[in-house]
Amino acid sequence: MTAVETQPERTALAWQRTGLGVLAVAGLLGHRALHTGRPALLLVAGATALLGLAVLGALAPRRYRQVRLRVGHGGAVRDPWAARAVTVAVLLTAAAAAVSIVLS
Amino acid sequence: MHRLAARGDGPDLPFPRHSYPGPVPVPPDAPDHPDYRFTLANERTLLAWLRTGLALVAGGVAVATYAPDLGVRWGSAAVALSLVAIGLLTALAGYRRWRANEGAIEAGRPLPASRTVPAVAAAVAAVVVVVGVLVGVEVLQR
Repeated sequence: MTAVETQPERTALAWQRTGLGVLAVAGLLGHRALHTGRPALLLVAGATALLGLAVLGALAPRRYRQVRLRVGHGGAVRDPWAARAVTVAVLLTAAAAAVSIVLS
Repeated sequence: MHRLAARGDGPDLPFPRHSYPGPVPVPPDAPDHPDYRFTLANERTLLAWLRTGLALVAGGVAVATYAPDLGVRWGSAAVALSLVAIGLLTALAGYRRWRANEGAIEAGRPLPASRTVPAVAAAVAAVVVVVGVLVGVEVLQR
């Protein structure tokens, strides 16, 4: 049954795209720091990059393993913690962007 | 509104689901938790909302960086901060929607209605109108 095999994969790819999106904003913030001659803002960009790496390298693979394991055992796949964590990462990214815009 | 049955919807049904007049019959061996496909679909919807928010945030940073002089003083920063704020609110709205959908899926209810899509569209349209005015001012000042 194809649907059973591809659903966790599609979800994992959605997680990866979200992590890459945070990294893209981090890249824009880094370029902005150099562009506006405020190297101190590189710290904001670096912190955002760490957030993106956390989503891409920790949250996404952790969730994928968890989903595959639980689907295999026929258990519930709900994980409010992961949803909350990635939402907080995106909100922090927006806050970092606001700081970078105000401070230059 | 499309009605989602959270339980018992699977390939085991002897007939297509739409051919049942009433609620979808629950097979005797149905687990006591919702179909994982609904949970994962809802999770992907959350992530899609978060990416929409991220795109708006990225647009805000791009305006501030690459169009620093927009019509009036603070014009660029105002547009950029508006986009970032809309992006942040979009991410928050996506999370609220995810939570509401989780509750509905868990209880086997239809998904609740949401006005987030028109709200985000209206906010972005308002920003676009402001950008148009600022560009007009910029052109007239030359």
